[in-house]
Amino acid sequence: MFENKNVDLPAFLLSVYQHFELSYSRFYKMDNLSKLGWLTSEILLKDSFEKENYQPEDIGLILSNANSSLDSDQKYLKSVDDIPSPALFVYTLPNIMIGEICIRNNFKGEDAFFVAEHFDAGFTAQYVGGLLNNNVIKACICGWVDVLNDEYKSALFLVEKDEKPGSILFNAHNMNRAFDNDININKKVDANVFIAGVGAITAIGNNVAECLAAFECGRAGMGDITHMATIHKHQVPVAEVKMTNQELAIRAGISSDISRTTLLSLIAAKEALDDAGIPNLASLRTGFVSANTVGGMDNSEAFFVEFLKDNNKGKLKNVYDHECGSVTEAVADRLGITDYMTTISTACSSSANAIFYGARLIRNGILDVVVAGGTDALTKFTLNGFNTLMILDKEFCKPFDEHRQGLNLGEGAGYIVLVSEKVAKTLGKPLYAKLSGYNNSNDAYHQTASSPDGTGSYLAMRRALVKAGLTTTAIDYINLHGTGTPNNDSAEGTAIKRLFENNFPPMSSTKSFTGHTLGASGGIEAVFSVLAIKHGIIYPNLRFETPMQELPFTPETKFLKGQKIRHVMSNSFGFGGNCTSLVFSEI
Amino acid sequence: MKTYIRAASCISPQNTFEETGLLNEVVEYTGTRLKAIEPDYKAFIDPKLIRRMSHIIKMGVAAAQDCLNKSGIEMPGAIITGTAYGCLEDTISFLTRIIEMQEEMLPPTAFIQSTHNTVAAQIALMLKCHGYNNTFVHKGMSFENALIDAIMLINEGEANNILVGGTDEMTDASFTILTRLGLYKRQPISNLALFADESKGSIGGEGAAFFLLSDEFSADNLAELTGVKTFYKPKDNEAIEQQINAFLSANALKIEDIDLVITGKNGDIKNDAVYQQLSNSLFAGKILANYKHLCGEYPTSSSFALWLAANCIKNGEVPDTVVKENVQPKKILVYNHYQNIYHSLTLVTAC
Repeated sequence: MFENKNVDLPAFLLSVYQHFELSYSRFYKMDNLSKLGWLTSEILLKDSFEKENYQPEDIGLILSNANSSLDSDQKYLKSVDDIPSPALFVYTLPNIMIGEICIRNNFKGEDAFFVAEHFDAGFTAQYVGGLLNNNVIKACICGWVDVLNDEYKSALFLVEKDEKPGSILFNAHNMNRAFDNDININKKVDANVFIAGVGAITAIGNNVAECLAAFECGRAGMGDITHMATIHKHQVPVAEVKMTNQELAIRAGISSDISRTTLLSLIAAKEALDDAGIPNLASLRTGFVSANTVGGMDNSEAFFVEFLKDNNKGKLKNVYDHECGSVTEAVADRLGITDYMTTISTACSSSANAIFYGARLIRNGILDVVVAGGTDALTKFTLNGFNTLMILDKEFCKPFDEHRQGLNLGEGAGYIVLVSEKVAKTLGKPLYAKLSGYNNSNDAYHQTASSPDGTGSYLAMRRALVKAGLTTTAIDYINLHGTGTPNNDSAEGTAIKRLFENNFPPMSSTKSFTGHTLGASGGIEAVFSVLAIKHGIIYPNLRFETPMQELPFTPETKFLKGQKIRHVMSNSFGFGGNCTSLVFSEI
Repeated sequence: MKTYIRAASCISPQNTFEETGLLNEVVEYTGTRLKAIEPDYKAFIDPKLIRRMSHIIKMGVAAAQDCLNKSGIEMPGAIITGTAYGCLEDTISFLTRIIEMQEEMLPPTAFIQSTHNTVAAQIALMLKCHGYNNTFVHKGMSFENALIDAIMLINEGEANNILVGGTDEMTDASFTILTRLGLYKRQPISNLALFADESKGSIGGEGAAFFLLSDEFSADNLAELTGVKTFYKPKDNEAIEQQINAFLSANALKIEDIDLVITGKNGDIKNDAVYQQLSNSLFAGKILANYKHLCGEYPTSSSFALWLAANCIKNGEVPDTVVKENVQPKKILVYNHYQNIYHSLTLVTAC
């Protein structure tokens, strides 16, 4: 930010030139319009543009203003009465300014100058967007530079096809905000959302402390199926929560005939909310954003056995809460949350999407506090579903191992409590971390399989970093999606290889402890991710033996304490090509 | 930041898809279940894929593609769907096989397509759209949540053009179960006489309505989506009135400014008591329209109401199959509630 008020335009332009320590002999020859445009371009490009990534022909300039070169035209006309000035004459075309910028930078791409009454962001977005989309150019400086007597304004935008840290979407809306000096243009992007509480129940622990203890002693949660009657018992291991429905119900303080999915959700969500200890919660706008994949399917299975024999049979109570939303509603009611609730279901990325949707509700000023995460209980429906896909490992899973055979299904629930900056200030205890980046991108390749190069995973990770304003070197730990299926780990690994190049942070799949908890996994792993920051932990990837041939890195196999963990990336990918990455950062 | 409805497409129990004028002729059904009128899907979906797709996937994908065609936008920046029940046909089919085949020799297709985000995923796959893709599954609020998500994305500058849809399908099993749960009437009824009959239960429906929401003004836009609000379990009618007034004033409006209110009356005597009371208080003197006699009751039926409202504003008239009064609406309020638990307000205005 440089200010120099109460001076005329030539003095102002010179002071800008000097402030930025520019040295360019042509500057002194230019007219005011060219100086203004050229200076703006220098400031715009000095830190943010990697010119060497482009060919000169790939960089274009599309500018506009209302007065063309009228300012210099008038000066030239005045000079005509006396001695016509050739120096002024050459600047009586507005596109000379474009030439000045091109000469300085050796830009040779498409250029144009439009004269319009007002800055037309819609037109600019469309015109420049068209050039980029049709690959006429790959980068563009566009905007508005206008001078007439004492009135002047210059606003230039650097548009590139690839996202960079801190870049925002190129559209009319954002251009208008920048043009109108909206200093809040990045405010929403920058408004912090903090994690104030965590809660989890998984096969390795009935609360957060028990889960952490299991990590430290390397105790995985897989074993034989005990809670379901199925022909797959003793055939495939699963990672069950080590409590029966009756025990869960006592702990949750509700009836045990409700879905196990609801019981798990309530216990973990309540732990998170209690942990946050938000004073005057009732006076705040609070939401519950929860994810799951099959709702009350465990009870629906019981209903359908009777219903299929006779459509008038089957206990209606068992099917009443079949919908995914019923699980959320039942838990919200018991937590006393009424301001907002919703359920997200995007397969195995569901609760990662729930978390960043919750953060966006806070950033958009709709809510102050959001309990966000997800839940899923083991059901015959999902067990048989994954079995038909032939991606269940008959042994304990081996994520990111060359000889991995598939995933182990798990169950559980995990929630974090997200709070606005304002609420964060009222808390009497330290915050865990902040959610600094997030993205959902679609692989658009196949309903269940990931693309070989992990396009969706790559885009989600890269865009989440962009959102966080971070580069790959800032990430100190990746909590992998790492299901243990040949397809996922290969696609995810390939995407990491491409994004992180030769700078691979420690990474591991905590699914080697908890199994794949489907709609709960993003929530559970978000809890583990923020705990990694708070306690300086890196979790081990169990049973890893042989590096994958195609990958130049291996997962961390030891429990590490006392690490400096600034930023953690957590990946969750699901059916339907649904890929989500979250970035948590230390405060 | 304004959100505009660039285009809308709707598959429903009425002739809404291959439009022959806006609801000029209403299809009459006798019974308690209205089934969507299915178009010739071949014009919208690769015939090789149609065979494998369930009813809801076909409806959703075709409505989405038709909506994009109408909007002139080939590639949306985001795809968001709302569905309370998700892919019921595939879910029930897989569940039935598990039980009947005793967990052996199961084909995977039904499971693969049973996930709730299948419609949004199939649209992304068809378009090769790598952008944001989300699915809300919260009962009678699923579609409204999708709209709220889209409005936030536009407000954040994350996307310019967003494809948003509400989809739900009815299957024989779900119709039987929901009838047993008391949602639908016990006696057959004509949908055209739905509001004349004062009894318990409504009529079941289904459908898919998609919208292309844009941040860009265009003379071709159908309408502006001015605001969406949801509220949960209001304690009485006074609380509902407070919510409606607060919503209107947040949009710098009063109830007097509203030209038409589309309500979610569904023929169930208890359900409709809420609207009945409002028609004597806050909505007194307002022109009131119904829509569930046309599409039936289902949790994402508000997407049908939004389709209707946007088209009424664009056409500058309301079909007389919906209201008898002559009105050229500039501002339409859609007020719907689902089982008096989930209430939603949607404000649609002329651009």
